[in-house]
Amino acid sequence: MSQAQGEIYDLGYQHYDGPRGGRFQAVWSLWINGFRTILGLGRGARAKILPVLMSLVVIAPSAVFLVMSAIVPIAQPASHAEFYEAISLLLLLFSAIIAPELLIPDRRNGVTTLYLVRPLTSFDYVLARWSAFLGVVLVLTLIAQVLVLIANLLLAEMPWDYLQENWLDIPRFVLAGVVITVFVTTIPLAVAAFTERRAYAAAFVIAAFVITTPMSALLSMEWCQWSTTYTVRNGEVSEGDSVEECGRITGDYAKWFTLLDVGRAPMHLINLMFDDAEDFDLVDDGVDAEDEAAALVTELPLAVPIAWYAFLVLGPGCLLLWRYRSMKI
Amino acid sequence: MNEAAAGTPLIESQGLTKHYGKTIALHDVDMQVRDGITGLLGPNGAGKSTAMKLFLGLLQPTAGAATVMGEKPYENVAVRMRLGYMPEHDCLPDFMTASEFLSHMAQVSGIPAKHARTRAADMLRHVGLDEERYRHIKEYSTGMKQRVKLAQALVHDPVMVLLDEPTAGLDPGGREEMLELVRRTGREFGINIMLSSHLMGDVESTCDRIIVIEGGAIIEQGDVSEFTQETETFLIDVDDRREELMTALELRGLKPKISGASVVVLLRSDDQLDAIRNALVEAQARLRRLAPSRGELSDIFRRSAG
Amino acid sequence: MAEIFRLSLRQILGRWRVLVILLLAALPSLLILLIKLLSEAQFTFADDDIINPIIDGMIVGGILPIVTMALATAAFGNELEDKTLYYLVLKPVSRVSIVLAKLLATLVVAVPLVMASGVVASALVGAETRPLGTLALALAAGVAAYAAIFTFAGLLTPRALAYGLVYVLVWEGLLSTIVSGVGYLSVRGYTLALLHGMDEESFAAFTGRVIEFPAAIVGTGVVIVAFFLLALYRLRTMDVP
Repeated sequence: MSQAQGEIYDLGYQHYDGPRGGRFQAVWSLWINGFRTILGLGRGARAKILPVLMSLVVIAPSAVFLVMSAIVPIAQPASHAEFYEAISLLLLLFSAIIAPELLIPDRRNGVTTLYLVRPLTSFDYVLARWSAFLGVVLVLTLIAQVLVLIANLLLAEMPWDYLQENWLDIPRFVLAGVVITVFVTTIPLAVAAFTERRAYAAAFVIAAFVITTPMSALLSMEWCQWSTTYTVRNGEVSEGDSVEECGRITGDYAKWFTLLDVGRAPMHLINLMFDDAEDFDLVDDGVDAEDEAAALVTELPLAVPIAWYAFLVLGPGCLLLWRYRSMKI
Repeated sequence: MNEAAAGTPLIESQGLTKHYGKTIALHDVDMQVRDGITGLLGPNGAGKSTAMKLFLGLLQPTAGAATVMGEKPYENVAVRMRLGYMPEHDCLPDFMTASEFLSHMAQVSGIPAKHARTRAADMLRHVGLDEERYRHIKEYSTGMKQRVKLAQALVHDPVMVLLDEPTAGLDPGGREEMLELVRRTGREFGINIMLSSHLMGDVESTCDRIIVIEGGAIIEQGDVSEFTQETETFLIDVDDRREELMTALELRGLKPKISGASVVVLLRSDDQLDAIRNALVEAQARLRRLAPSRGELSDIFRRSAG
Repeated sequence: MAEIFRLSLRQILGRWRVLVILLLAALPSLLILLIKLLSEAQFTFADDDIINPIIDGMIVGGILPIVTMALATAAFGNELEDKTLYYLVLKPVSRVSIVLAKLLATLVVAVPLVMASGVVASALVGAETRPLGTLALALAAGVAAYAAIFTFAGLLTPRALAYGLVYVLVWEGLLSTIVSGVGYLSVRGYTLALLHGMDEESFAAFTGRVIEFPAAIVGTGVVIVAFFLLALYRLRTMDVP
C-alpha cells in the first residue's frame, strides 16, 4: 500500500468541471443499479438462479403454447387472460423472493444513508427501486403475451382477419400486464420495507397468499343436496318430489369471501378486461376453482373488485413511501 | 471555494435546534464555517452527528435554520450535489466492487456515466486502493473499507465534505493514515472539510479551526493554534514543599491544581513559564520533572465546566 | 448441548415472528368458526367435506411447511447471516450436538403448534368422530421431515427459505397434482399418505391421491435420517465464515 501512495503525489487531484445531471440522473443510476440487483448481474452464478427461474416460469406456458401451435395446427386460439391465470401465482412467488433484495441489503449495510444524502429524496429512491422491479417483471410478462399473440396468429386461418377482429387484445393485454405487475411488485416491496431479514419478508408474503386461497375457496364453497318434502294427509305420509337445493356455504356472504383470496385480486380485474367472466357457467360441474371464483366475483358490483385491487396496491404503496420518509438514519 | 470568497459561509446555522421526542440533541446552535478544515469536537452523544445530519438535510430542524452554501438542504436536495458525507457506521454494499460502487455513487450525485468511471478510478488511486478496486467490498479489511467510505464522499468532487468520526474503529497506524488522507483532501485537493471526532489529537493534527460541542451546545470555538496554545498544560513534579510551591504559583496568578502526584498548571502564554521558574525558586522545592502535557479533550471540558 | 438448545430457542422466538406464526396456526380454527357462524341452516354438514380440504390445503399444504421451514432455515441461517456460527463451532461441543440442538429447538416449537392447529380445527368440526391422535401423529411426522430438510438447507444457502417455498408451492403444490409420481418425493405426499394409511375411513377423500402406506413410512424415515446426516456432514466440512 505504501507503493500505491508513492504514486499518488505524482498524479494530483483533478477537479471535475464537466456537466452534472440532477435528480433525474440520480434516479436513473439507481434504476440501473436496481435492474442489475434483480438480475444478479455483477454477482456470482448463484445470484442468477432465481431471476433465470422466474424468466423461465413466466415465459414457459406461452412458449409451450407457441411451439404446440406451430406443430399441431388443430389447436384453438387461446385467451390472453388464461396465460395470466397460469403465471399469476408463480409471478407472485418470485416477486416475493426477489423484492427483499432491492431494499433490505441497502438498509442492513447502511447504503440507504449514502443514497439519502445525495441529490434525491426518499420518494425518488423508492420510486427508482420500484420502477426497476416493475420494469423487469412487466417486460417478462409482455414477452409471454406477445408469444401468445404470435401463436394465435399462426393458428388463425386468416391471420390478418384475426388481427383486425382482435386488435383490441393488444392494448388489453398490455394493460392487464401493468395491472398484474404493479400488484406483484408493490406488496412484496412494502413488506420488505418493514422486515429486517430477507427470508422472512419473502415467507410472509407467500404465506399470506398461499393461505388465503384455500380459505377463500372454503368460505365460498358450493353445496348441493337433495331434499324431499313429505306431506302428511289422513295419517299417511306421502313422499313429494325430491328437489335439489343448491347454495353457498356462507350464503350471500360467499361472493364477498372470494375477495379474501388476495392473490387473485389482479385476476378479477384482468377477467373483467377480457370479458371472460361472462363465459363461465355457474352450475356447470366441470368448472375448476378459479373459474368458479371468477364467476362469483361478477355477482359483486363492478366497483368492488376494482376498489379492492386499488386498496391492495395503494395501501402498501403508501406504507412503503411513509416508511422511507420517516426512517431514522 | 468561490462561495467562500464571495463572503457567504459554506455552512451556517442560526438558532439550530433538534429534539428527538423529549431528548434535546441540539439546542440553539449558531455557527459559521468557512473554507478549510473545521473540526467538530465533543464526546459521544454531544450532538455532532445530529449537527452533520441537519446540514446534510437528512433531518428536519425542530427550530432554527441550517444552511449550506446559502441553501437549506432539507428543502432543496440539489445542493447535495456539491456535498459529500462519510457516515460513522458501516455503509458499504457487500457484493459490489469498489470501482463499480464509486462509479455508481458518482452517478447518483449527478456525474454522467463516462466521467463517473474515470473519477471512480482516480479517487480509488488517491485513497490508495488502486490494486484492490476490482474485488468485492465484502473482502476488504476495516481500514480499506474506511478508505472506500472516504472515496465515495469525494468521488463527485464536492465543495464541502462532512466526515463523521473518520478514525473510528481504526488501529493507530490506520488512524494516522486516515488523518493524512483527510489533510491531503483539504490541502491538496482543495475540498473543504467538516470533521467530527471525540479525540483532541485527531482534530488538532488536521484542522484549521475547532468547534467544541457538548450537550447539544457549542461551548468553545476558535483557530486550532490558539486552542492548542491555550490548552497547553504543564506538569510539575516536586520531591517536597509542594504546598509552598502551590502558594507561590497562586501568587503569580497561575491557578495550579493537584492531579495525582503532580501539580498541573494551565498556560496562557509563554511568559508564564518564567513565572513557574520564579515560583519554584521561591518555594525552594526540589524539582523532579517539568513537562508540557499536550492538551486533551478532557482538559477542555474541565476548563469549560469549571 | 442444553445451552445451545436454549440459545436456539431464543433465536427462534422473535416477538413478531411468534405472533405471525401463532396467527397462521390459528387460522384453520378461525375459519371453521366463521363457517359455523355464517353457514345457512338448511345445509347439513358432512364433516369430511369441511375438514379434509382444510387439512390438505391449509395445514399440510400451507401452515405445516411454512411454519416449519421458517423456523428450521433460521436455525442455522440466522447464525450465518449474523456471522455467529463461528463462535458456536469453536465451543467444545460435538457437531452432532449442535445439529441435534438446532433440530430439537425447531421441533419443540413447530410440532405442538402445527399439531394444535390441526387438532383444534378438527375437534371444532366434530369432536366425537375425528381421529385426533392419528392426525397429531401424522402432522408431527411431517414437521420432523421438513425440519430435517430445511435445517440442512439453512446451512447450504442463505436463500434456503426462498427455495423451500418454491419447492413447496411448485413441486408439492402444482406438479404433484399433474404428475402422480411426485408423491413419492414429496413430504406433503408422505404426510397425507400417513393419514390415509392409519385411518382409511376418515381420510377416504385422499384415496387415489396418495402413495402406499409403507412407502410413506419409509420415505419419512429416510428423509429425516438422511437430511440430519447431510446437515452434520455439511457442518463438519464447511468453511465457517
